[in-house]
Amino acid sequence: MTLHNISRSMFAATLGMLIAAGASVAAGGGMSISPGIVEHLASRGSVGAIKISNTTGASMAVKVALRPWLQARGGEVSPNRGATLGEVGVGPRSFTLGPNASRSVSLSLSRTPSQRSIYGAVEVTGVPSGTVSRGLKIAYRLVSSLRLDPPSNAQAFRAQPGGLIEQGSARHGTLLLTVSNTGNTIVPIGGTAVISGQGRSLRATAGAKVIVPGQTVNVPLVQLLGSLPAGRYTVAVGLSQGGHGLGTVRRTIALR
Amino acid sequence: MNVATRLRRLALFAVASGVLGGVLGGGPLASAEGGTPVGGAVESTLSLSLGEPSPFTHVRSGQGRSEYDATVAVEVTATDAPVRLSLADGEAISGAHRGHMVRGHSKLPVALQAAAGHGGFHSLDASFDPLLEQWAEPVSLEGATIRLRQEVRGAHFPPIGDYHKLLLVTASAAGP
Repeated sequence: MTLHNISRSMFAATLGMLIAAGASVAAGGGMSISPGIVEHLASRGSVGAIKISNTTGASMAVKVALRPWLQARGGEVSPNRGATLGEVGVGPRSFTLGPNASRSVSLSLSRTPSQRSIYGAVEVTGVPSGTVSRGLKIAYRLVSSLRLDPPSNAQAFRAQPGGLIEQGSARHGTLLLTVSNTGNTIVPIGGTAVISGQGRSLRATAGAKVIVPGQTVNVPLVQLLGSLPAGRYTVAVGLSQGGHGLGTVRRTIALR
Repeated sequence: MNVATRLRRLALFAVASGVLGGVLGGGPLASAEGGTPVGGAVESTLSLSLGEPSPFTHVRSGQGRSEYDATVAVEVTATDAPVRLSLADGEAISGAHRGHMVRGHSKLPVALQAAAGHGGFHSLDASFDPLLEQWAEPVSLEGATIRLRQEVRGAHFPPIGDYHKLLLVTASAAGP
């Protein structure tokens, strides 16, 4: 047996052990959706389809909802469970999926959206059959991304800067700028910051953040790390999005 | 990431690229020995497997309160990063019952809490679904154990088993 064959035999044996080791969860199957991201131009008509599979041995009550994102100031997103994206049609929205069965769900736009783009979450929930009136019942929820992009000639790169925030300990924390995405793309927004005052100047590259159109996020500009003495400073931030300059904003801040 | 996790990822890649059939089935290996490149496109997917939740067990008492813990085994596969694991109330989106185990119209005063791995517990009545685990890279058959904790104050409540809650174990991929 060659070294090559030995290593392949070991791989096969290892694989067998791993499959056996994973049996505690995987043997019961689960739920999957494909594709993981639905991306299409935001134009009238079909914008995609999702295949939903139930690989468990039980029937599942499946619901599909398209929801707008809620975005926290730190940038984290979650689907807004109290709202739906009314412009995008889903068919069917709910059905029962038998054991080891799959079903395709189509997504369509009845008209071109006025803002020329839609970004939201595809939320698929699957509740296994059998009601439990006592204790905990566990069900499936898969959240993927719906990206209906504007055509290149309708992309709007715009942002509205807000106030400066000093987060963390005095002069050792992080400077952040509140930025609202007033455009219609999810291209990350970042830029450069120049902090000047007290005879000192500090230049930094702001970490680019994905901001959902219409949402506001705190964009980190620079970690101060005690590099500046206490005093009053002017902060000039040049914002950019995908290589497009969004203008420069000036703010003042007192570091204690 | 531990060795077992790496090997399981390798195993999934092998399945996806069609190598597994040849290895386990004892099929012809000549093409591999001949230096044929192994590869292939993995379909964009998001998958979640759940184990049965363990029943709540009493873990400690003191100062007029008791704690009960339960666990759920989870396995996530996602081709699009970042990947997040969270937990949501499947019955109440908002309001006083969100995150609380209920019995008819009454609820336990303290909300359920959840944690994963070595992370701390998060209350399920918060306005944002608690993020329990996240991975910066795509994952395959990535295992996690969700720990659930219910605190009961006082001694005047019915047994905890009389209350119920539908929980949505949530796997999210790709972000906006």
